[in-house]
Parts: sequence; C-alpha cells; structure tokens
Amino acid sequence: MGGEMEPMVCPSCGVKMNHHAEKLVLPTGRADVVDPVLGGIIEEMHACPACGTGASRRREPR
Amino acid sequence: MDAARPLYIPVILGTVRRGRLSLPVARLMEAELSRRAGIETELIDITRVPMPIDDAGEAIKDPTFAAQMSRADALVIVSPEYNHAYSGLLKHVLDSCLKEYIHKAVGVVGVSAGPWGGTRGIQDLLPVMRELGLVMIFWDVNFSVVQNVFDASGALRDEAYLPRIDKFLKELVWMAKTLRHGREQIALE
Repeated sequence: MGGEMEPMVCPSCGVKMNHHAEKLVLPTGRADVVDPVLGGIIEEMHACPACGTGASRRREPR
Repeated sequence: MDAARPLYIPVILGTVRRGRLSLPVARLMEAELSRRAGIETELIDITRVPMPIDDAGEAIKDPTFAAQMSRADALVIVSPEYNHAYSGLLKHVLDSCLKEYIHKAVGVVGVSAGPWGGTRGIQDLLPVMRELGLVMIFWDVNFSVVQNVFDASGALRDEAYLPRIDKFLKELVWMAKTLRHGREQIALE
C-alpha cells in the first residue's frame, strides 16, 4: 500500500486511535486512483480507545 | 476499554408498511434492551429516516441516522418477511452508511404472518450484513403468525418469547462488548 501513515488522532478527545479494519472501496468515478494490486481504494477504520469515537481515512495508493 | 461507558444498541424497525405488525415486536425488543443495565437503546423507525428514492447509497446519508450508526456498538434489526425477502426500503436505508457499521454486532428479529418467522428474510440479510462490515450473531428471534402474538394494544400474549429474546440479547451484548474491545484495543497488523 502507501506505506505506514501517521496514527489518527481522535477528533473528540485527542487520543491516538486504534486502526482496526480496512475496507476495499471499489471506485465509481473516473478520477479515483486505485491501488493497482487490490483494484480499489483502501479505507482505514479507526476507533478511539478512550471515548469510542470512530473515524476513517483513505490510504494513498502506492 | 472504558467499562463504565454504556453500550448503545438501537433497534431498527425495518418496514414502512402501514399497519405493520413488526411495530409491537420492535417496541418489545426496545423494552427488553432498556431493562438491562449498562445499555442505552432507542427505536429507529425507518419511516422517520428521510431518504429520497431518486438516488441511493452513501450519497443520501442522513446525518442523524449516520450519527446513530457511528455511535452504535450493536444493532437489532426487526425485519418482516415480504415475498420471501426483507423489505426493500430497509436495504435502501442500510445502504446509506458503510464505515459506520464496521466491526459492530448485529442480531436480526424475523417477523412473518406465516409459520416461518421471517427466516427467509434473515437468510437473505446475511450476505448484506457481511458486506456492510457487521458481524451477525447466530441467535435469531422469529415471530411466527405475528398477528396472534400481540393483543390489540400491542401487549405480548405469548410469554414464551421472553426467554428466547433473553438468549438473543445475551449473545448480542457479548458480541458488542467483544467487538468494542477489538475496535478500540486490538490493532490490525
């Protein structure tokens, strides 16, 4: 993938979040840049160990 | 994990049909969840979730429903069986979110006017739940011949459902706690 990214920080309480899942999102637009091996875009799911807030971000394709 | 933080487990009433007999089922599930310590719940009636029908998917995400799904640790879906399947509008509402569901528990309560208690609709929901990232428990509750299960006021007439609901909720709460711990504490390697 695009290498290690910085940990996400909880938007609610500022604690470092836990990266617990990755979802392969299949592109729907011409402008979407996909991972050439996986054929889609990886969306990372993160959860806050302090308050439970969930957040996500898309990983840059390699 | 902050054990003092209550689990939030809303009940989704998955039909908009007028005269729906799934409403007393959903109210019963909400009441049974409310009786348990450490759990917060509410009834989410998909009739009240504003969804256009000239578009679909995450483009029509309702902010209130999305926030409820983000906050949820688990879901109870009350799903009547219509023509051997779940309701189309239930799928329409569920499809409006995705990342909000991932690694969260779900249990399905089937409802039917016939003898099978919505089992065919539950079976059809299984691959949908998996693709949404939800983790399905293996206990179901099946309300067969639902028109005979509640009286005209919506009160339960058949007490045999209560121990079945208890088994279902015990597994759902266990799964909700386990998955919350995993989401918040165990990193994907």
